[in-house]
Amino acid sequence: MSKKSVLEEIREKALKGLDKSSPYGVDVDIEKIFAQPSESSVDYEKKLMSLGIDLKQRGSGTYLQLDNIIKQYSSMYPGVEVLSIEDAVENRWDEIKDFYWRLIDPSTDKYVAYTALRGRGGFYIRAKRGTKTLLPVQACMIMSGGAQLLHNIIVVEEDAELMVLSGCLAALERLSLHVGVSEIYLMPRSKLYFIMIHSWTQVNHVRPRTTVLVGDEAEYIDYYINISDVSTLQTFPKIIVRGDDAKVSSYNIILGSGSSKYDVGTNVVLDGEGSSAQIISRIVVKDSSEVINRLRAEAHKRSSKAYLECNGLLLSENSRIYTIPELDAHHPDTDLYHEASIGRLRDEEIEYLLMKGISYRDAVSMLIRGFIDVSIKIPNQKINEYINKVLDLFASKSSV
Amino acid sequence: MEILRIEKLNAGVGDNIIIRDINLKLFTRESILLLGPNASGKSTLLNSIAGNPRIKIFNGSIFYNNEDITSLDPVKRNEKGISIMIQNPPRLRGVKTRKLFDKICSRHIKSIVEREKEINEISKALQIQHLLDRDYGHGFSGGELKRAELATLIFSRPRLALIDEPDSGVDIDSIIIMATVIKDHLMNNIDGMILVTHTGGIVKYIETSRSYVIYNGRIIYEGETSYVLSKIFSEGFRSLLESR
Repeated sequence: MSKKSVLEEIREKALKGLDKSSPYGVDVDIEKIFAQPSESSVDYEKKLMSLGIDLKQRGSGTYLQLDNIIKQYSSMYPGVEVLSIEDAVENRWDEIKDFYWRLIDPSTDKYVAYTALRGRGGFYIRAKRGTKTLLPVQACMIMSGGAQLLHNIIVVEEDAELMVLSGCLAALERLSLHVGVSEIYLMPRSKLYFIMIHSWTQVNHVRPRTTVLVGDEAEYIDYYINISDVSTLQTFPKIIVRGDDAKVSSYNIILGSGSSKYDVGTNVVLDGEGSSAQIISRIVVKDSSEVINRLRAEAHKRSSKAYLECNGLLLSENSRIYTIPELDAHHPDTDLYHEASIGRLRDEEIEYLLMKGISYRDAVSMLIRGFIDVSIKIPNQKINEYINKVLDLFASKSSV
Repeated sequence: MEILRIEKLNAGVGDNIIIRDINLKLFTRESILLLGPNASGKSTLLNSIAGNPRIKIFNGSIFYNNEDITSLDPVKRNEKGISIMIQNPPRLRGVKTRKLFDKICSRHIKSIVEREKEINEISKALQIQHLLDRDYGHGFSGGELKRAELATLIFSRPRLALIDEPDSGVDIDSIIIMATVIKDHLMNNIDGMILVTHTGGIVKYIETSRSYVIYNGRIIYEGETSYVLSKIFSEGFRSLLESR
């Protein structure tokens, strides 16, 4: 099939999805947001630094986009390639065609459809066979207003190991929509650490659309932290474990504040023998925010295991957490578990810390920091330190 | 000079009065023993002095260095030098022991290196180094929890140390370790100490001049420790009630 025909087929499919609302989350009027102005001269570096992202730090690659302007992209490690999606489609069609809109149907919903039809930018990151680096590719998406519709592809080839540190944030408090359609491929025996930090404002709508395909003996580790207000955020990433003996670990740490409405979760499909998944989430809500958290594991092959854990903490009377764990077994030789709990900080613990001379605010912050500590260790000291700083910031913002 | 004076204190939890008409004095450089059977009100009294928000003061007063601290919040009391070793500290999920120690130390020691040094020294003395990177209290044995809790007291550098039942439910080795640390790292640096026990296990190792005995929420006896202990160990707490 020629490139032209493929692109035409994608367009045809997308047209069918334009009026399709997402089954979850608040419906957003995309056309209205398209009309919103953006600000190309915004000082985003300072904002990135506030999230601890320093583009001058050495990594294996960089991708930076402000609204719909691709500011820079580069590869800095042999075997790791970073391009814009347009560059890849234009100049690497033979390489990208097997991954381009193959995991996500352009007609999935209107957010995906708009991205397929009117999106601009997004990255194509590829780690070549056998390439191993824990120097992260830093990918930063910044919004100042309007719609930012991105299409990302990550391919980690056989025996390669890659880390992507993605920071998405709003530089100005202006009505905007961020859609990131991400198709992620892990070939046999590969490994990907995908770390995402989001920082929005109370007028941003966010709709990430992610599907991950995990091959034989591959390992996918994702870590998502959101530390800010948002107007609405809806995402339900799907991780398809096609390979045997493959592993998935997914950690979501979300702070709901202001009047933010979140509908989030993770959907893992275990379709390989001996595959396993661990999905852990920590939700903290305050003010009048609301978080719906959907955790789902589906197992089809023997010796597959999944563990879902969702712990929620309510810090105010007007906030809400609604957690929906689902287990779906299609084979008798599977072990699927879930644990969920929602509660508040225990008075006894706060009082104890007060008597140790720790102020109320510091005591609450310390307990929240303990609550969100999921004790994962990433084999890169700088990244661990960075994540710890973000989690400290999370705890300190929660306790205000 | 008196550092602590309690006058006609009635305190409890919720609407329930647990201790009644308590009068107690502690003088500079004095260590006293507070004895009593289970549920007699010893911990309530100690927590009243430390300012535990859970304890309600119905009436009466607490003076520390002649300042009325009856309604002072626990953080301010701690700043003034009043610190407590809790009998049953809560387990703090996700809060690493080292982090908690460091936070308490940071009020007195600004240098991270110096704090680390202090934490390591005291942890070594209390034989709890292996707990530093674990969640505070989680999976600790009874003795480990008591020793870790004593460490928090030492790190807060108290002027008035309130020690609640360090010897209950722990083995003799832990009692000796704690008593050694109390003598070596605490007693020389404080203005006064109230040590609570109902088993008397620790009194063999720590010397105190006077003792108060509390029974059913009231102080029923005050006197020399040696006499009180010999009476209790031979005839039980009731004997003091009967001899009033």
